[in-house]
Amino acid sequence: MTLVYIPAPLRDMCGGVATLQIEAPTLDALLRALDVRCPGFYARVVEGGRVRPELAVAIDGEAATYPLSEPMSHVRDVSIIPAIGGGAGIEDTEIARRYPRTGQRRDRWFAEPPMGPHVLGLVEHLSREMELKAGTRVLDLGCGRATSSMFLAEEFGVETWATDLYAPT
Amino acid sequence: MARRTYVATTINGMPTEFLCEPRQSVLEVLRDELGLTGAKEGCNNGNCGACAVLLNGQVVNSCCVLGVELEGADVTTIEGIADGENLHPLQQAFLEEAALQCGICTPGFIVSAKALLDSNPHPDEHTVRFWLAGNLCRCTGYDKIVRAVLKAADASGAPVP
Amino acid sequence: MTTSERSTNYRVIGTRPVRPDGVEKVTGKAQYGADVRLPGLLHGRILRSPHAHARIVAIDTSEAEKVPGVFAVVTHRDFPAARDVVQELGESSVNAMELSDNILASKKALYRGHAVAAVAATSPHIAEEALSKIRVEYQVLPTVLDVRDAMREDAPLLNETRFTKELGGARSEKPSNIASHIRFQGGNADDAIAGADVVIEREYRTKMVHQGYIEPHNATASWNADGTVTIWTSTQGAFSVRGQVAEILRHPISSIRVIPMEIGGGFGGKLPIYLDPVAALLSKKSGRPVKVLMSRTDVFEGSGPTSGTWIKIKLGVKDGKIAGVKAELAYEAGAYPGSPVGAGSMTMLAPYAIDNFQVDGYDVCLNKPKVAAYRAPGSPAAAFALEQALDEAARAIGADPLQFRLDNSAREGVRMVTGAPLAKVGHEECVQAILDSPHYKSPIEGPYRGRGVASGYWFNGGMQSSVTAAVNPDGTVNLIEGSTDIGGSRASLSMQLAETLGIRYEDVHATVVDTDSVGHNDVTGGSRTTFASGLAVYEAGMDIRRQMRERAAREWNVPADQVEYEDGRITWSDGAGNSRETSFAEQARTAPQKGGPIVGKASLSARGVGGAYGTHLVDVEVDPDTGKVTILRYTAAQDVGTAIHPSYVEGQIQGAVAQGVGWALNEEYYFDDNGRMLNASFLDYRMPTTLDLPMIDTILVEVPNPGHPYGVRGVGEVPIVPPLAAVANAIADATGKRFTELPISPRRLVEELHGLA
Repeated sequence: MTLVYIPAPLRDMCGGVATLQIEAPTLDALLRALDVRCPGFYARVVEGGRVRPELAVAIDGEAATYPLSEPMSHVRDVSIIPAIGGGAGIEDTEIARRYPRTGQRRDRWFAEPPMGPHVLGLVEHLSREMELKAGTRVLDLGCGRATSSMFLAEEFGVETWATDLYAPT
Repeated sequence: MARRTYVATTINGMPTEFLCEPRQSVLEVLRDELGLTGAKEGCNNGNCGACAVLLNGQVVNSCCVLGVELEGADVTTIEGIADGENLHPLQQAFLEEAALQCGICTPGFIVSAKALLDSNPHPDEHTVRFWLAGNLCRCTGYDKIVRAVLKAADASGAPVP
Repeated sequence: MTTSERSTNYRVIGTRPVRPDGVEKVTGKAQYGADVRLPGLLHGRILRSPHAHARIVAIDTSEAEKVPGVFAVVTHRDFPAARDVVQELGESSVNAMELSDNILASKKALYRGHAVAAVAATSPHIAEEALSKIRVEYQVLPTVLDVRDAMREDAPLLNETRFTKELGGARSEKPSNIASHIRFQGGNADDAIAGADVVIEREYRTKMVHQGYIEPHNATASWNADGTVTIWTSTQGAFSVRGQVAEILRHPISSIRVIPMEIGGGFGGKLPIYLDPVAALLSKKSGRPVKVLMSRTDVFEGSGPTSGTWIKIKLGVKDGKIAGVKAELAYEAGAYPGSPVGAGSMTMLAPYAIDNFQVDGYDVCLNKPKVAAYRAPGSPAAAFALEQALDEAARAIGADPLQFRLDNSAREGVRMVTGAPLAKVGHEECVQAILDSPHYKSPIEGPYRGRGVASGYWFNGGMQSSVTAAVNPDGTVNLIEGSTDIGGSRASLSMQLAETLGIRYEDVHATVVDTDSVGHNDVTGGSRTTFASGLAVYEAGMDIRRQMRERAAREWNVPADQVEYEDGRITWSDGAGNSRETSFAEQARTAPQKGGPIVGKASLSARGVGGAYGTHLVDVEVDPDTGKVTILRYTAAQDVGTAIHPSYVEGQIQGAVAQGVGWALNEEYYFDDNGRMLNASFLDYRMPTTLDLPMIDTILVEVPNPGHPYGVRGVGEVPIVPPLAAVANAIADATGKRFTELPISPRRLVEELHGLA
């Protein structure tokens, strides 16, 4: 059983309580379980498959960048806190607003598609028209650096086949 | 570009000739013309002491002296403080006393402190602090620098008056 | 002085060897960023806005380009469109769009000194001449320079599309200079304060101050025809520079090589980049390598100082305990969001066990330089406020200020305001060390003399480190690492490797290499290097030990898990009289014949970071006629975990105390009404000199961090947290007057003491 410390600004959505006891195998499951008790909580903490960049999670007192898959079975204590750096504040942009998965990508490969993040925004837009799920097979012809394929595989768990005449250097 | 002037001088015991623009400071001449980058630019207006050199035995901020003023002068820079492979007692004391962290102010401190010990081999703590007040250090809080200078004075073997 | 709770005896750790880079630094040979000399090198200079807030209508560079000797001119138009993504800088983070806009302004100049254009020429003087020929048409806008003014609804807006963000994504209805608001709440502060015996309610202010590193920012770039770029620079993190430049220039990360030169001080101010992409673009345009240097005035006006702050505290004490605290903190972010108000809010109450609290933090944009990290960012101002309020409360109830802190101290298991419980920490030990110190037991007597104490906390950081340790045939090891060495970390890392391998410190040769030559390393910041890179060094050492044990086991035909490694000796014994022995030196010498080179490696994201506390004690004397404050005696106690190289631990503490004393007594950004800094030189921005300080006594309290094999805690940041409040408390003791605003400069003291304010 993990004791979760609810940050003050989010307590209204949890009936005013400061702490909740939750049992969950992973951080993601824990946040989803919280969402059941406190509807809307998950979306306030998680965006695009990761803890929002302006937030950090402290597990048994230690704040770090934990993945959502972080195991929770032996964790006694979880707090959700502002990132220690203070955060530079992400200004809302059109892309980030309309395409939350794209807006939150910060890993290097995705930070550098030669044609910019709106490429991913387009993929994300198209993805809404399709029922993508784990096991779905995607063919990516003319994939370039295969940014879209990697995005789809990571975001939706699909199996992608990608090819191009172009070879990344 | 302004016309360059021929200057003949002595740097670290070596006869040295260079051409410089009238507006170039000694610091620029040392660093940009002669490749002696041991003297550092921290402020370029005489307030930090990182560019200190000895000019005819006197400590000067080399950013506030013009290159053309070196004609006929005798200059010692940080590069000329050690005697070959033998470190000056001040350099040795700075190492042993951990009197540097980032090290950017260190050349200026050692040059200034050398001038002090050359004229007063056994200064007390207040004298050291007074003498080095023109050199800024932002890392050490000066404690270990002052101790290093006092230690070097003790180690110099100069007779106690 | 050291007091230690550790049980292990070390051979190397705790000794005071000479640092590996020492000789180069005392002989002037060490190469700092400004010392880079390359064939065909051009000199770059930056044009800066003379206005604190202005729309940039037009920039005409044509006359500058005609100056003989000028090779290239760049403005924001030369940058690719930046993307709205956040870059982590370790102790801070930055939005790429805002970073790009800060490096060269696009539509608006948001503070005086904001860079707007750059020139590369054959000499610095020609570059400066050319800058004067660039014509910038500005439409000057009203400025806002005070953090409270900037929070008002009718304040001039720096960015009309900025709204106040709340934790977790909610935002304000109207645009605002307040970029974000955070709140921490526990128990019921209002009720607790209402029922208290003594209530202290005060407002505190601190001014914007600068880290004051002696080496100005610099960057040299060489852009090659194949698109590869090499950058020589002074930075706290070469990999962070590479990532930021890649982002700003939209250039592949693998095409950028960053060579970290020796760094002349940073203190957090050399985490963000200012010049590197400009040098790169100037080099691309000119076809020559370009070195860009900041002047001292550029550093003050155009780099990243730390926030001025406004803090309001209401604190109640009942039966000798802190019953409840309500606090509001507003921190200046400068031109773009990102003040350390979050850290200030989280650290303020950390030394104490307080059940009832409400802490609100506001990140506020105004027309000043964008702040950067400065040593325990956010915490010193918060401690300045809280520790003065505690001092007043202790006086009001007649308690000894140290005993009062001890009675209310945080300890293992106590929750911070975030809800996170503390691991094993050493605040009580620090307070006790000061109580027991000869300094505290000595009398303080005489008119206008006083004594003050204060405590402080900093988190410390973990993050990513990579090291390689290559064993040489002569029994030495090359330690290849990527953490900028600002204050002796090559020594502290070498010592940890020597300890792990059981070899001599002198046999480890540490080198900080460029971004092409080692795995990723996060910045030297957050007091993380000796801790986190130390963990990597330990793991790499254990990797070498494992390889040597396995080789010995193969040779002796015994199971590897029966082979022991201790103090550089590798042994096996079956307990029945059969034994074998070899050594690190022997394995190193015979490695070419017995399986090839032995190289230990480790890459990790460090866990187990331990926060740390300090308690400081200071005696002052105030001259009522001149307002000069003399620091008579200073003692700093700090929980340092394990002091790897005690001299450099002491040095960190002494240096931070000096900065803190400067912050308390003299340092400030002094602006006119138009936002021009009037003291942008070392003459007028008055940092402490040798004459302003006494020797600074340190007490190293060793409460080993359970999360590190050698008990290491970060030590560099904690000691700047207490001095502001300690000095203010001492001045209150000396004069009977409370100074709630920094700096407590001679002018302010004289005005207050003589009723001239």
